[in-house]
Amino acid sequence: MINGLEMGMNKSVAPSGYGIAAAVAVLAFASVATRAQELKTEHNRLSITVSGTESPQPLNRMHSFSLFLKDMNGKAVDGAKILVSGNRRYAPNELPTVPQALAEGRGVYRISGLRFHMAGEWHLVFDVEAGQVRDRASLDVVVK
Amino acid sequence: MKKRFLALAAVVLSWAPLQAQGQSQSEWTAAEKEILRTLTLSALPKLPPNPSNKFADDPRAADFGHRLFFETRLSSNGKVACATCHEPAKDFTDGKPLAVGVGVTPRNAPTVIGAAYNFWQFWDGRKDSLWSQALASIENPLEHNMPRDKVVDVLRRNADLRKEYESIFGPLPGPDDKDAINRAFANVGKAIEAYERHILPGPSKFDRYVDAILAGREPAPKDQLTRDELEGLHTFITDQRGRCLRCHNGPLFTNQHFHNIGVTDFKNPQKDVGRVAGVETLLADEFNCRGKYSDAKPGQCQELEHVLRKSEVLNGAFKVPTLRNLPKTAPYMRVGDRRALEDVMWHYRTVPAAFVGKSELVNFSITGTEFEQLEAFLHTLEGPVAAPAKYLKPPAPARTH
Repeated sequence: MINGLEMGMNKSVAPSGYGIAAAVAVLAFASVATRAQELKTEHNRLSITVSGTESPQPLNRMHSFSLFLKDMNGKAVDGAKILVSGNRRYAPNELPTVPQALAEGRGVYRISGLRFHMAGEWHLVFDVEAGQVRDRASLDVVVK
Repeated sequence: MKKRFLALAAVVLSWAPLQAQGQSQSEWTAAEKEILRTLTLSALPKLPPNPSNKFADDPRAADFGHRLFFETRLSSNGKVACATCHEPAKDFTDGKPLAVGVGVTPRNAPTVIGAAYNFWQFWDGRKDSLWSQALASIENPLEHNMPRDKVVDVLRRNADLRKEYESIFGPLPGPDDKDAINRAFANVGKAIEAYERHILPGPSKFDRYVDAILAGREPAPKDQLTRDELEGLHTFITDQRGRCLRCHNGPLFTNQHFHNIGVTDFKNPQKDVGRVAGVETLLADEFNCRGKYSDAKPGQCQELEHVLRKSEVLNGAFKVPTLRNLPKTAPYMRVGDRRALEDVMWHYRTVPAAFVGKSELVNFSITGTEFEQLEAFLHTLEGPVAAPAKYLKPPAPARTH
């Protein structure tokens, strides 16, 4: 879309055309960038935000997403242990893989190895242990 | 008046079955069409590369693998080849309840068609690639019964095989270099995989029907589903009825995972524990994606890195097979004791208990007629094998000069 707009410009409108191109680039990036969701935690001891987990999630494709961890003062938390589990809602089926968290620094963790093998509603649970502090959050996603 | 009414009723009733054929397109809701879209072969992505096998898409390796697939010299009795249990004419199965190589194995031979898409190989998933799966079968005393050093010896002593091997992989090792023998053995598997990656499912009546529906056109007359096939498909995709899509989803009709559905080998009911043991074998396998004979780089073995193990649900659980091309791949299920598809339907109607672990099946709220319609639908998934014609028969004898 961006390239098409640039190709469609002519010299007489070039100055405002560049502005339009820049605005379109920002909008395109914003539409592509995934939305972050702050999760409600059980004990209110940590702030857990995830990104890349919007519904619908793909069926039977291995993928990863980001998790952002902060303490209640808004300070990034590093070195936490994060366990990700999940099951289909209203059914006993659990995740077919074991997702793992890789710390990337500044409170950012890459959760890899997530795959859903059945369509429908899934309930993901994040158990976080940061030193002496433990908390848990959950997220419902739809898989299609 | 009564005669006119009866005559009119006769006309309407005789017209209705004809009209049923023409009602194909109006059968599906938008939500159902979205499900159908995920099942057609048109949704199957191009076969991804296999990072653990750098020869996976090498045409020379595929031709050599074709030769090896039909090669009986890679067996202790000179009579068993991969094609013994995976005959092209039987959609790459063997028509037997249990696969028979040098001995009788405890499981039914699965098809090779589309197996390149599987995350795991064998019923218990103890291998994570087609190349490593081939090696296990070659060394299995009940299958080819050929240890790896003897495999390399066969390649060395037979000019036709040696020439073709060395043109792709370089010189064969000597008899005393164990590591080099392992690598040559791995190369044999990698060539077989390169061949098997060409053995893919072709479009079936179901695929042509769904593609037409999704394109907004009436399916061609030969592709229109009968009333029973339509009802069977409805049951299949309706979760409250068949629950089929939980395990048999995607264009290959398998979720690639392991489930316990109470299939029992009554000769030894508690022996075959399935994935719970298969995953441990897989993790210890020197030929897995992370092993030294794999070509994968760090980070490229995602399924292995995140494999589920030590879970109760894996006890007695076996891999979900594809539902494509069923008519030629009888008998069915892991121990091949279901001679016909109606016997498979009977398994799901009776929901037998498992002897290992706990069966996930619960009673289905569908009738006997609906089971028959499901069976009718399954027949619509039969299609040709999409492979180069030369790969569907033994290769011509190799030139040795």
